[in-house]
Amino acid sequence: MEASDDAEAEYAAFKQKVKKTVYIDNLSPLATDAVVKTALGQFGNVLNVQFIPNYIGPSNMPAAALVEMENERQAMKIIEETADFPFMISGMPRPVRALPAEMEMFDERPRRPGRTIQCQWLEEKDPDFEVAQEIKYLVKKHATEASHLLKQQLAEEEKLHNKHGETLKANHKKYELIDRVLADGSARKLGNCYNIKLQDN
Amino acid sequence: MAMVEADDVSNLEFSWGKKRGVGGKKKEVQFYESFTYDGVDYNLYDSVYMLKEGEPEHYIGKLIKIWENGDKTKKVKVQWFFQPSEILGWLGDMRVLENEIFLATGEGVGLANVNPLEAIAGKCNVVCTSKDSRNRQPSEEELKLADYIFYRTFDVGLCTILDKMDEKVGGTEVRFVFNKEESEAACAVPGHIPDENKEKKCAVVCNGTQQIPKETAPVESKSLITNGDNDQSMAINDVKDVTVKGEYSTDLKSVVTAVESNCLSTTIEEPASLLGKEVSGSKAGAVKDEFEMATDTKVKAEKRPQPANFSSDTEEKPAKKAKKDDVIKSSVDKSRNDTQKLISRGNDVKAMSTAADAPAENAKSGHDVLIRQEKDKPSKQGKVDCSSKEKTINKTEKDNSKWFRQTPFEDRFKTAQKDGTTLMLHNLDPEYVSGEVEEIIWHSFKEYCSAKMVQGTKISTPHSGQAIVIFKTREGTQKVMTKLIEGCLMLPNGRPLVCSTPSTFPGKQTTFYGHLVLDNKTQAQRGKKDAVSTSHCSQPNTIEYDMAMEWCLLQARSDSWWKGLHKQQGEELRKLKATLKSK
Repeated sequence: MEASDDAEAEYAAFKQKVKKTVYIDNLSPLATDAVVKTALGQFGNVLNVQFIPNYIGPSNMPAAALVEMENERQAMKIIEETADFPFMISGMPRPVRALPAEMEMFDERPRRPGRTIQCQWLEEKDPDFEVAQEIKYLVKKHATEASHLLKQQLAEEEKLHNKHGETLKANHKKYELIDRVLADGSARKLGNCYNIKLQDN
Repeated sequence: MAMVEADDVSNLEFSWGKKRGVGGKKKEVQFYESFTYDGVDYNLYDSVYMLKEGEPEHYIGKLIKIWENGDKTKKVKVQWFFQPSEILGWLGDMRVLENEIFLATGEGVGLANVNPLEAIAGKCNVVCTSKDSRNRQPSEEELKLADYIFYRTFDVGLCTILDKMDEKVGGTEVRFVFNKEESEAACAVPGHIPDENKEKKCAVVCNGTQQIPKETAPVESKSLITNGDNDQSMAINDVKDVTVKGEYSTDLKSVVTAVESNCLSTTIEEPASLLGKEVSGSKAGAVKDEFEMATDTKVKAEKRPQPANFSSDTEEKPAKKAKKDDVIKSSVDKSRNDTQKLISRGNDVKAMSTAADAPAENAKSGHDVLIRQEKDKPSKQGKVDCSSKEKTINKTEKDNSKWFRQTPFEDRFKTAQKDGTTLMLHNLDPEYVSGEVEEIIWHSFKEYCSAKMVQGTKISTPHSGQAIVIFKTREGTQKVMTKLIEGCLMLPNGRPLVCSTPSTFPGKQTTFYGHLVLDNKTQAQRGKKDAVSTSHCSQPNTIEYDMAMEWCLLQARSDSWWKGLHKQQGEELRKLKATLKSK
């Protein structure tokens, strides 16, 4: 069975590829594959960057990508480093997240050798028909739950985003104020007033 | 028939070139080495485009025989090139160059066909890039000019792709397969497309069926039949040829359709009954089956002698037949070794799906004939009918919309959403690949579709996979949807298939929460300008680091929500599935 050996080999090769691939998400739309490639290039040799297309989720979902490294060690290194230090790509302060890739994340993947799919239509009289309909209902419910949670998550992210925006603005104001008092001499005047020697820098 | 063709040709410039030899019982068949047609010189072993009915694309083939029959009909025998889309199922994830095609080799259906010379649509510049020492390596110039390149062959019998060539490739000597010694290729006129008139009147392959029963079959006739009035006369011949004993209505067109569609339906229903089975469609069929087939075929192929050379005595027949107006009793056996270029084309697929439920009466008659024809097939091919009949899902057709240069999925999805021809499938095993989903749909609904498993992310549920499916027609989509809602299609492991209409395509990622931008002046002041445009690890003791930590915290919280949700959902599913009586 030469052909089946081929399929086995192909599947094994794919598994290997999965192992040396890193899943990166929380990416900004500004991060192109060139950007990601450069960003992760410092951890090893990036072979391939592929974005996971978002066909069904909301449009404000962060992007995710699969980054294939030269070997498993390099892939592991990315995952470890980004876990230890927040790693920014194309913006801040939200770090990206790197995790080991999984088979289901890949677009083009070989089928598992030897798998046969048998499907059958259930008759209405079938004792399982009712249960199956319930499962169908449950599956739909779960999908709704998931999309609801996703919405929640995005709302939380938006909140944090806005909060950070405020913080940054406040900080910015503070720095500007300091800059100003230093520039227009009021800092020195105050220093003289309180007998504190201020040094220009 | 001869008259008709004579008419056609009179519109176009044609002249024979160098003669080769004669054949046939009465020496009435004249073989040629070259000819000029519509201002283009053709030589033996040139690559040409062949007309394909109703399609802007053309088949590509190599002229391996050129001759004129006693009745002045001009014929060419063409060894086919396969486009990757036609053999997709066997390519796997093999890398294919953008303009790469595969020369047919081996023995069996799809290797070569006899066509009327008028079906030639123009010259095609195919350059062989095989590294074989016998092959004259093409220059850069030639490569640039090439319409297509090839260096691999596709064995139609074994359904394998080979990159080595023996002394003969599908009966053609290898030196004719490689690039010609003198750089003729470069001066070939590529992409000569015939004018409408010619296309319309262009003769039909049906002739081939009569002429060389060993080489052609009705299915091929179908694929090359052109529109136009001329069809009728040819259609008669075709039908007669196929028919063993049959009376046909005067509505020739419908007869033709019937025969055509039934050729196809036969192929669907008896996929294992002819050698062409694999070729006919189960490209993406159950892997296991194919392997068995392949092995079986292999064994036989080894035992088999070289393909019989084109025998001249068969060439006489068309002339005779064409003369008869009555129903012709055509020996089925005559056409048993039919080489059918069965590889499905877009048209075929459509015909197939209609054939599947077409109750038309004449459809039936055509059908029987074909089944008989196939059953009567002699030992060699009959035996190939191996034990692998439909053990598992076996998709028996394929569509050329899977052409590797097809429009990106995203675009097709958008269009399909507008047309209402797309569905979301839920509750699939996440491990399934897109091809398997297509098979499930084909097997359960006899609807052709193009599917795509939604790629998982860290937040997608581990319990079920989703797929986007694009159908050909709105009706088909509705049918599948109704069936899935009302009925219950059970997949392995207690997974009833669920469908829904996909939400609107989100389009480009619009906003992204988490990246803050200050105006340039401020960035410069704070010395963080570079930080925005490049990647970096955040350092503790910066405000950025604190914020990053907050993001990490939120991420950890979201993760725990998802984990909780998936756990709970899994539990619910498990409980419910436990109540299923059968697994």
